[in-house]
Amino acid sequence: MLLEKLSNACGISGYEDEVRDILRRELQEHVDEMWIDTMGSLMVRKGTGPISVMLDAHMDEVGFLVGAILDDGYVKLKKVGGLDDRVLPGRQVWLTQKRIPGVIGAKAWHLTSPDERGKVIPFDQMYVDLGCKTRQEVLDLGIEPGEPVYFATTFERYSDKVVKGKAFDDRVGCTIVATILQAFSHPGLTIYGSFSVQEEVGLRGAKVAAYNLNPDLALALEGTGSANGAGVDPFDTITNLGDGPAISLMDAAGFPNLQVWEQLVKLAQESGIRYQHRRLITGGTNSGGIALQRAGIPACTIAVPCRYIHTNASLLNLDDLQGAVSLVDHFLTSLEKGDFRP
Amino acid sequence: MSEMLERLHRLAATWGPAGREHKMAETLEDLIQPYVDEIEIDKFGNLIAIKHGIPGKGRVMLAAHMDTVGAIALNVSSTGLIHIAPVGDLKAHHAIGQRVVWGSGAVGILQHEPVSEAKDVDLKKLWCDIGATSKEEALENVRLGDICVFAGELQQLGDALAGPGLDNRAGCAVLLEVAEHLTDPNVDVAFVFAAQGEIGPRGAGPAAYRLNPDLALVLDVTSAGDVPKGPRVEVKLGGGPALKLKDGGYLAHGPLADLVARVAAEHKVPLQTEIAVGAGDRTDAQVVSIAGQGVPTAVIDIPARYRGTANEMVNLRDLHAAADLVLKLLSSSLELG
Amino acid sequence: MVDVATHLADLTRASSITGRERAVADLLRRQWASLVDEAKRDRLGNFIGLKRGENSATELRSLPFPGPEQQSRPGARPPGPPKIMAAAHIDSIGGMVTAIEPGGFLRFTTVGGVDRRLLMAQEVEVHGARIIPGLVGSKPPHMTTPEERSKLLPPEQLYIDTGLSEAEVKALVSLGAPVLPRYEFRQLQGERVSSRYMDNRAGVATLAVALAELQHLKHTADFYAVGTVGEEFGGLPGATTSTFEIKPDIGIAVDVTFAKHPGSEEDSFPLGGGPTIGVGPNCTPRLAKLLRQIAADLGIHYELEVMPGPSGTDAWAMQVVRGGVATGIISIPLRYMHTPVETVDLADIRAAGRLLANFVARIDSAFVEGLTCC
Repeated sequence: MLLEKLSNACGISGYEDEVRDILRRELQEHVDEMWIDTMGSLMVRKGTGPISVMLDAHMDEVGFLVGAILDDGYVKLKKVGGLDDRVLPGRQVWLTQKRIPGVIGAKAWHLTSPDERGKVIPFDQMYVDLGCKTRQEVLDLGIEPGEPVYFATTFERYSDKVVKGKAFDDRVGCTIVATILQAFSHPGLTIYGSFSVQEEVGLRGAKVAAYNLNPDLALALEGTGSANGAGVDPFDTITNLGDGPAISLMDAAGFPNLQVWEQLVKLAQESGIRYQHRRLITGGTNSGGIALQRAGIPACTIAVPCRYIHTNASLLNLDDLQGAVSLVDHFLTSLEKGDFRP
Repeated sequence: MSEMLERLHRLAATWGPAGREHKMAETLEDLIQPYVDEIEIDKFGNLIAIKHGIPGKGRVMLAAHMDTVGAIALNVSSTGLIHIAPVGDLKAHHAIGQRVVWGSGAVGILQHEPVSEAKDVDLKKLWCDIGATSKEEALENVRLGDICVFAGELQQLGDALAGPGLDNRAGCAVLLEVAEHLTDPNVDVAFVFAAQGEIGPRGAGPAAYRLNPDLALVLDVTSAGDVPKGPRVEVKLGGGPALKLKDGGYLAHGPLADLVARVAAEHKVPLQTEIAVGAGDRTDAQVVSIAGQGVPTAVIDIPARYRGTANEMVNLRDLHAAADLVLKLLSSSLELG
Repeated sequence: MVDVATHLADLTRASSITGRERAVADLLRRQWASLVDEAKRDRLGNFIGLKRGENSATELRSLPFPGPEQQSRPGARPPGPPKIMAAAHIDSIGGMVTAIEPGGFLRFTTVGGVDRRLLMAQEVEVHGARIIPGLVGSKPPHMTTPEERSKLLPPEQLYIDTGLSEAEVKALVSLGAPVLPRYEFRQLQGERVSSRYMDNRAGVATLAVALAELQHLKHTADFYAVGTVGEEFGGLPGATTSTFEIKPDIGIAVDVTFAKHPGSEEDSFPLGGGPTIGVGPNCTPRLAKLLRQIAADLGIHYELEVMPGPSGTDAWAMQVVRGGVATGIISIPLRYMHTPVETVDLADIRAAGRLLANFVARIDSAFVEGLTCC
């Protein structure tokens, strides 16, 4: 399963090589052209039709870089992307692309003061223990400041529908775009698959990709937060796992293009694809960055709900993923048939 | 009624929050159309109108954002109350009790959970009541994603005007006034009514990228400091337009700011100096100035009291002076040395 | 050869608070005339100097270069010699007069990240019709309570005392007039120097050293030495627009970074221990690797500077201009950043300049073609 392979691959912002290599292999036979841009984003083209569509998904995930290496062999970390300090202690990690195992330790509970027990462990007191005794031992493993560090989480099926893994934000988007390119044909269009880098540090790869591709319009495929866990007011769940893909209303990076948005909603309703709206306006997605390129590019975000996003492990519902694939396919068909012009 | 006032009334009657500027663009197109040679709405929703000058003499962009702040529908309760999030810098305490109008034409009232202290007022506790008694009834009139804005007409108070959305209908009215009185310009003059100025700003950037002007003047409104505990800025209502030297996201292009001040002095146009301490009111200049190879950009602000409320106040004398200043600038040498 | 200490002293003397950087750009046009083939100041005030590669016929009047629009594939590089741009920002932090109070006292606000803790009793110069010396005044300790003395006043509650009458001040100063710290360029012990504005005149001086080195190094790449405007205020306008014009294959930001001193953070670097080379998302791995290789070849000691997100340098903007630029970051360790006594070691500047020049000499067409691939 492609999502499993992609989720298990390691690729924090700026170090997306593993993810890119998987996608290159998967797509080689399904696209007409493939290249890597200056920032490391994988670009593919399928078809030469008169309307060009960019389908963007970002390859990078949140994680860490190796910071200072201490004399006694511990390794300090620097965060890449938005991470909640509360979920970090006690996690297993992989250091460097060689996947050298380490753990983020924490002082034994027994040794903490009552005061400490009620508080979040501050990030600057966290470190990785590799089992090394000296700084030199760490260096000898090929670990130096600036090397990537990943959550060591393995993909798992919890049920027929629900799967667990790391980096669903945005390997689920990569899966959707790859599936569209592999399984569907839209000869009336030029479809650009944009597997972009560095979304988590500021929507960076997709901006550059959109400038280069200069498409007629763009869809960003994303993983988004979902909070429909126990005890959450239904108003505050952002999105619900299993209620279908979320069509963005607005986010911190701006509004979706209104016409594209209307068309997506219309198609979902007509073809009976279950969908929802993301009921939160904070957090930015690549479509906001894409929209501002050159003289403006119409763009909209479709996202798959993921519970516990931006942690070491999140959950998603495969029906939501399938719904997103179906919605994008219907949208491309409507563009191809000329039912809709940007 | 003066042309300026008439246009302002018409703009005020047009619904146009950030992200939904199509009706404003139509009204503005109608108003500016007699005075320009080219006109179009671009992919981002910006309205761009161009008056030709002498070929090869360069191009000046005049920009005013045409959107207003508002609130977007995110949730509907079983009792038909619409829960909202801000579009732009909407303040909860400005919104309580206000009448709003949605894109569908539905009218509603913004209300807030009871609080015992003013500091507990929060946008998250705000909703819009359109008189519906069920979720279904509410959704028949307002969809998720629809946007509402403050309702209300302009009220003239001497030379002052009060009403919703004068940020930035005031700037738009100045551009229309300039368009009307601009005869045989040397340079191409591009009037840009920018979309999504209240969030970002966004629309003016892509417009500037495409137009690639030699310089740009941004017309916007700024909070006047002449009210109790007002912002710490030496700008008064009725004291003339204000040349912005600094806000939280923009620092004036030195030579262009000098030029604007010089032209104002030469022609005895009253001009105030605006230096925001702290973040200040951001403008389209932030994105226009860094578009493409860069655009020297000056901001000419209309002083306003009570920005962001349902009754923003500007003074017509300031609007006329701003239009006058822009016209004088366009007939001056725009060499920056 | 460039005398780094003299050049740096001249550079720190030039006034250039963010938004009004012309004095530095003009100084570079004069002092770098023999180091570059051509130079210009662009629309926003960036200084752009071009040192052509061997056999290159590039001219600055063809700026801005056409984008990748005309190429066979979206984003493919156009033909021509490799283009390397090195950017050092020429603006600096300071203040701006906001009001003239009765008695001629000047209120001011800060521009850029001025360290508020050092403002009281700071000697300043107000750039009005002439340069007016002044002092940042406040109530004397005899008149303040111990509690007041332990608190910092916000800049808006301080004022500048020029000793001039209100009428004199009004005749000389208009609102918005730049305020700069007054200073003396100090040669400390050894190769260490201290002054205002070492951030980022140290970077500018590094470009000068690199240009001087390139006079006797063969290079095929066109080298653009750029002094960017507006870095200290946010938004990186100068780096964004100059990169747009030049459309380089490679962009190197040369800036300053934190040097170790008592009480400094874990992530600071020894003064005199050589430049730092950035690693992280903002630093194209292939460039960081090459910079490290060249430093090792030349025997230049360097430190790795880990930058997990926004690097706080011009490279953050350069990387995402148009269709993307491969970027690297070289930084000079500096103590007491954003104070009037910023301190650097000249040896670090020389080493960084040599590193940059040799990097330029090493770049050929094959290398830049390899930055994008299929």
